[in-house]
Amino acid sequence: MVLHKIIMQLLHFVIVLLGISFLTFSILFLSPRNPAELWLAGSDGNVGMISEEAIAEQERIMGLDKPFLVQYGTWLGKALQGNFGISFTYNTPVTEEIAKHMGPTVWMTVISLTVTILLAVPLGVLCAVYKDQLLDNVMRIFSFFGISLPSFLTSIIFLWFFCIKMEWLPVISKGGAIGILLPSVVLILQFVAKLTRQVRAIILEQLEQPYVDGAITRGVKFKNILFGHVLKNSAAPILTCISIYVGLAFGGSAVIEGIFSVDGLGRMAVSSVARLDIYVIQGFVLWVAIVYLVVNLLVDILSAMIDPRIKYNRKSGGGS
Amino acid sequence: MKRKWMAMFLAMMLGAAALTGCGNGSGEDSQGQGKSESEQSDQENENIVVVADTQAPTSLDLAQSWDSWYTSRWGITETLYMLDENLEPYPWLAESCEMKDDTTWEITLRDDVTFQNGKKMTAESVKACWERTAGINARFNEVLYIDTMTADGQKLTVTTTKAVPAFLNGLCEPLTGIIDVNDGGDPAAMPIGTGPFQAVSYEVKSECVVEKYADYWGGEPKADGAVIHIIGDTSTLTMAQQNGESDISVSMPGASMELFTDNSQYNVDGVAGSRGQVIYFNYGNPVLQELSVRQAISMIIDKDSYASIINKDASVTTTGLYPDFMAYGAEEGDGYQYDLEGAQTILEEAGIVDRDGNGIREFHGEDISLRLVTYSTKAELPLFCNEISSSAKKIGLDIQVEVYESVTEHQKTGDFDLMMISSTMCPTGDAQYFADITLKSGGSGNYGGYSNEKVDELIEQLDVEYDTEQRTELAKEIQKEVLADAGYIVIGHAKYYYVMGANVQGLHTNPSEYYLLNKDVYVE
Repeated sequence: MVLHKIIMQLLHFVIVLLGISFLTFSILFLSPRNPAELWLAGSDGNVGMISEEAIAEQERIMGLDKPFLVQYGTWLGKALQGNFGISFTYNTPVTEEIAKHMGPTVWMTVISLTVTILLAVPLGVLCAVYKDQLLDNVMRIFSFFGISLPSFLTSIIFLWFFCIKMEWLPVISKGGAIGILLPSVVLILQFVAKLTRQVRAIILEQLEQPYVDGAITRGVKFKNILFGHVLKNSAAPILTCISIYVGLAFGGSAVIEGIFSVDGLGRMAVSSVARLDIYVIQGFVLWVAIVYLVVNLLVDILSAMIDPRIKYNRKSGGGS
Repeated sequence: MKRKWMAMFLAMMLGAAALTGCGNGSGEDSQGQGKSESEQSDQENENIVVVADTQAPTSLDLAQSWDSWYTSRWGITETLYMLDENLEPYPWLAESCEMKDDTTWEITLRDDVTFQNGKKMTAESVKACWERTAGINARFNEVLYIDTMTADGQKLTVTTTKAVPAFLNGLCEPLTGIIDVNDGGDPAAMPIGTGPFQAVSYEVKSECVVEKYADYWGGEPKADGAVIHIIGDTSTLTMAQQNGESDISVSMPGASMELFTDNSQYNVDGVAGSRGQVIYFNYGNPVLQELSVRQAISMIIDKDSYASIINKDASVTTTGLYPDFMAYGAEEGDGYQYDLEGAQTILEEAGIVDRDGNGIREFHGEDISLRLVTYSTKAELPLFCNEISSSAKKIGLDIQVEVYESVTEHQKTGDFDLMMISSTMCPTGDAQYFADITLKSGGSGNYGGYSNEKVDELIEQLDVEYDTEQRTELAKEIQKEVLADAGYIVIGHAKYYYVMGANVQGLHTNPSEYYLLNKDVYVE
């Protein structure tokens, strides 16, 4: 039964990924821009300065002169064998390109999410418990700034303060831990500002439920109500909120990576779109899709483990 | 206790990130990680020039896309001819290039040039390199139009598919640079050029390390090497120069220039190039077919103020089309001066007046309302456009500005009335390029459909004229005709800047954008 479910889930994954790959390829194919022309023109707006003959020849060299279905079929056939194509821009295999840029983004994600969860969840709970008191008001102001300040501005302020004013860190990223420290902090600030408010709202919703009033009336200690019931009931929606940040962070942030000169997935994705590097874009979209699918699956499993009602509903849903 | 665990966890995370180098893949730090202390100490004593740029090649293979511009700037590859400060070609790897007939050129190569692997550069190696480049990059065939090549010692005889009067200028384009293609290595990672610096490593969009080629044919380079950092953001580029992390900054935005006025710390070296801020008219619009309207628009642009105030002296003005410093630049009296009253008079005389009193003149009974499209990646363009729109209102024309990320689609579909773009008009120093693609009827860059029989006739003469003086005269004549027609407007030409620390020596900005590191550059 479990095996059957796993197989069905994997099948579901494959269908979704096939659909996404087809859709992405179609959109890129229908784009009015021409990858061969962009390749010839470079990144400096020289489009139009290249003759039609040269563009046609470059399309032939890049294999773009074939019909849509032939191009997609060829790519799919190779992709199923693990070959996702060669980047037009870098002339290297797409898997190699993604793997190269994945490192900084994954580390920034792991660090920022771990710290975010460790900070935002307790803070959110405390803000809900001590609603409208000092901590809640302070966190409200922090969240207000954290959410309203655009990431590029926060990044530039950080860069100026830590690298120019205090001279603690170099402006030019040397890679490694130092290179991802500041961008991770910017991500943490943004995530904590949002997640704290979300956790607070979820906890407050639970605290207003009749079962809490009933428990208080029965003389149950608030501490027991909070840890024994409220947090347990809030775990599933909090998990769903966190999963959104996982997907977001694994896709990389082009703006933050750009300012801190981190060569991550976000920068790669933006430059690939700018140059219409079809196969790299395909690879990136599939990577993000896989992250979301896996995270959703994990959230489903964990939610079912935390909240038996979810498991029950699934079973009854499956049986009907 | 919990805090301690959290701190340990974070320390482990950062430690692991440091150990894996954040997955850069190479496993070896180009700055010398893993080297012995004495080696690192030697490195500290070396004369290393640190360059920062926001733009980067996709590889070090000069045949790919426009990557050759970077290998040329970074001193790795060189061309047979180079451009001087007036964008005129002079021999470099070649001793001479002689035209035998309209389609045959005999190039004599220098005898003392060696590749960075010690091998001698011969006509055979140049031929092999160009054959490879032509097979990879279709643009190559439009630079030199090569039909056949015959190599004999240091002599390379080239025949072209058509008359190419600008052949020498073509030899300056970095795409025609020379690498040893028979070395067996990967030109994308480790090209073997003839320049003063050889590639050590390149992490795409991150960092390139080059070291001096001691046996460089032009003499031993003064710097031991250079590190080129690719920075994703211009604010970061500015800060890196401010705190002294970079010695030379390329692509510094005009808005940051005022931070580098202290001559004791910085040296800003900028020269005007041929990158023009060009306004295209869409001749499919009946309003813009009217000469008086085009002339009036040409007269509402206060070019001096645009360059000095809006663009903070990051560009120079021209009353013509081509840069004034070039041999075929505009002469006194060419073009149109800023004159709002004059512009109004021209429109009045043409019968284009505001009859309904709403402040906008009418053409065939309808208010004149035009769309001026531009893009945001060149910061000065939207500012110029807004100023034009504001001036246009004063003479009764409604010009609405539309700013896009890119105007490629508008160029293709003609979906604009006026369009302002930043365009390199003479990339190899020759007037023919801009004339052919933009001024000639049906040119690939003639987005607005400009057509003038006299201009076409003159361009055809230019296309086959070999005499330099005659070519200059023809280019001037073409320019005069287009200006009389108010066919295009060129506001000015952007300066090409290098911002340097005061300790950087031996570097002078060249307007071509092709050159940066050379054998004379070093840090004092």
